[in-house]
Amino acid sequence: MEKERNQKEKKLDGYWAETKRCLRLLKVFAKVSLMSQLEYRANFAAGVAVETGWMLIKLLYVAVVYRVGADIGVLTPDHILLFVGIYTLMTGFYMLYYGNFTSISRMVREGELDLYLVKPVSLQFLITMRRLDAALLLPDFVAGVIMIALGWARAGLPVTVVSVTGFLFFTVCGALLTYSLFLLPHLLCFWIVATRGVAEMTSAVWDFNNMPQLIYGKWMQRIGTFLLPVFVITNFPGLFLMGELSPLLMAWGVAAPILFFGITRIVWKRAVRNYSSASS
Amino acid sequence: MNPYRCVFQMGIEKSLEYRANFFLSLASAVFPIIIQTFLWNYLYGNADAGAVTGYSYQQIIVYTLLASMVSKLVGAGFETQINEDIKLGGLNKYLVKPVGYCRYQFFSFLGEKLPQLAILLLVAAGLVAFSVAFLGLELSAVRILAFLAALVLALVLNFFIFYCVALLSFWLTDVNLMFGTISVVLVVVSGGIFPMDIFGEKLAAFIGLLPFSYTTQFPVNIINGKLSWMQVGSGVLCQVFWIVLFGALGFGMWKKGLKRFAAVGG
Repeated sequence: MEKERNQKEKKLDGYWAETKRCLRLLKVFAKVSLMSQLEYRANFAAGVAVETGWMLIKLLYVAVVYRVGADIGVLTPDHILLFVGIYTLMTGFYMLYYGNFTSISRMVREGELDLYLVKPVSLQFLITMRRLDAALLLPDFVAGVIMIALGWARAGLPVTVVSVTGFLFFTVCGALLTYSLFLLPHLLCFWIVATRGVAEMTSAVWDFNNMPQLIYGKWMQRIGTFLLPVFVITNFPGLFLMGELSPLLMAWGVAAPILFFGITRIVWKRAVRNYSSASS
Repeated sequence: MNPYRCVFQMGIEKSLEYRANFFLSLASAVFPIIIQTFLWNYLYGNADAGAVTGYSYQQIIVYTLLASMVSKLVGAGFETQINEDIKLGGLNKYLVKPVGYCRYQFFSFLGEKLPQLAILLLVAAGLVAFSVAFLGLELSAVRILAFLAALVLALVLNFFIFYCVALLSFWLTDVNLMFGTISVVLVVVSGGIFPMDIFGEKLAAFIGLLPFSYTTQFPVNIINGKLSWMQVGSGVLCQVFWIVLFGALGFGMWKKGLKRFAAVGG
């Protein structure tokens, strides 16, 4: 009995040590990525410019809503500004490591994954977090925070300890869910070759969050919340602030990132087992 | 055999070679259409959006259905190739041959667009038929012809705009990095996402002075019945004017740029 307990404790200690090591490595990755990006400044500026261009499109949706008027159902344009702000911020977080996702297929095809397989750290962590693109995060982060602050204030939403904590909590949950949910389609590259289309389709699905889920039909909202929970990512923080998040949905907002992380781990392990080290 | 006919055929083959890619990009164009349709349904259902935008519900939905298709169709994509030719010296092989580089790119572009045009017209025909049947869109044969004519002119105009943008590679080192941003901004300004004239008369007047709206917004507004015949006529004249202007600009830039061309790496 005691032996079993000791083993469990050892296992937990092992997890904790691994997590600490990953966090330390993440810091190193961030530092190295930033240094190498700043070395090629024009490239860095171009990254910022491209992301700003895409942001223009997000802002266009907000402009349309403001143009049409103040009274449009449950959502005022200020609420919509808040939701688009969250979406913009989340896009920034996603773009920070997105490049790693798209390069998985190349690494599998060209056998580059071999190099990483032998490293003494979690392969999934190493592959999906090794390059962090601050140039893409920067404009989205700045614009997202400004839009959230503006929307929050103009919509007259409460600024209490509970509301701010809840908002931040669901934002973090959303960011974690993004990682798991959007890594899954990219893992298809272990089985099929052409994944460019997959990448295009997933970014198209991501764009559904460009507008709050409340504008979509009931069935679409259900699918986007429970089956393919893209709406959970950017809508839950805003819905929490508006007091529109039922206890059941709150529980789902917490459970979904854990559930999908578990699924990603299982699929990842299967995928790597399927890796044939093609070109080496 | 006419070299440009060969280039044209090569363009068709190139386009057919990557057909899966084209279909997927067409499929991904469906998502923004769904999002925007929901948005307009919500806005027109909850507010008097028609009074503000100047578009009736039917017109805006037809616009949404067709704009991203037209925008994809007229979209260029050869600018990185031209930039590479100039930067890496690939241009040399064209200079020593008896072909005009602009004409080469133009016919290659047209060839690439032809299969896309055929498929896109089928999709567009389906969407228009849907609009006529379910949204009550009124359509005459003359309007369809005017749309097709404007579409072809839009294709040519967009070619020359992007040809001029690509030729900036003669002078700027990092222009390749900016192509992504330029394309996104031009898609927005040309009305590929939303019609730009819904944002008020001043902006509409300003946009009307620029060439970009004639590549997407103008043809789509012909088919959805937004424009009067008078506006259609003047719009076509504007398209021709801008084509001539950008054609001349491209010609001038090519002549000047070639003098700077160092033929490195060739």
